[in-house]
Amino acid sequence: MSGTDMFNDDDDSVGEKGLNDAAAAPGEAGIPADWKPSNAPAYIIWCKEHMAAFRSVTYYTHSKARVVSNGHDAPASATYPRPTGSFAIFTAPMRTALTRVSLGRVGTRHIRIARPPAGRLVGVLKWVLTPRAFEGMIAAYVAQEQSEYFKALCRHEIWYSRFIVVRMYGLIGYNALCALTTSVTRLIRRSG
Amino acid sequence: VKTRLPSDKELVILRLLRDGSPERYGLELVNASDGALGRASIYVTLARMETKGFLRSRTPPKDDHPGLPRPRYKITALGEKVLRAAEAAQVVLGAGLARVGA
Repeated sequence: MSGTDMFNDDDDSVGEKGLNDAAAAPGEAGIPADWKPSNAPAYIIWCKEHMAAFRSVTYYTHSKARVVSNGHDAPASATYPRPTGSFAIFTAPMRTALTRVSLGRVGTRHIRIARPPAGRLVGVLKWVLTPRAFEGMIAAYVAQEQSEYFKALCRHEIWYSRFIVVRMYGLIGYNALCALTTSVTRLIRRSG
Repeated sequence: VKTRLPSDKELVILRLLRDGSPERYGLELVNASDGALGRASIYVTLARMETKGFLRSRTPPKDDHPGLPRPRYKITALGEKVLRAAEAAQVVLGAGLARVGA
């Protein structure tokens, strides 16, 4: 792989038909066997005017493939099916964290690939907090912010969507701290 | 059954749920409250009200966006009863204060 983006889909005419094609099973349609599907869910988001469509895609990674671009070195990753129906490898944009290698803009104005934000944090908090505290405070709030995040992406408000993620992490941290403080205080009161 | 009294925020939520659409999301309540409810504390308050039995939440298995589905909140019969009692108490208190000239 060179410094140029291997996914040069500048065609702006990808329609609903391409999005609604049936997803092929891994190993089909020329996917190399050494590309492994990851557990993280990703979604193709297709937005045009006031319409929005979400479709789940499989997110593949390769242990050895790297993308080198303007001095930045990052692991390569791919999603399947891509909007045009074939296997696509995405490169790492500059100034992008390694964890978000493949989750950028796909090349047309109306299609993005994204994951629901705060998935890992939710996993950690599910393990740390009690089910009642998690369902009542964290899950409800995260669901609301994820909904706002995807609505902002559909309106092409990229910076607002980033602000939503930052705000969500801040408030989740605050709520988790409150929940933990309450639990510790109860434990201390019961014991003493 | 011992019922705790609702706080001011809880009364706002109960009024919004009784007078507005029957089922609402948490952020809808924040937007409809004109600043009386905060984004950071709304879900803590809703969880507490659900524990008290004033509200009932329902989480659909799938939402219209990727990620976790948003729970919807609905007022219960106990919530309506508590709201009516609180409003009646406010009327009586207001009349009493007017009588003493406060």
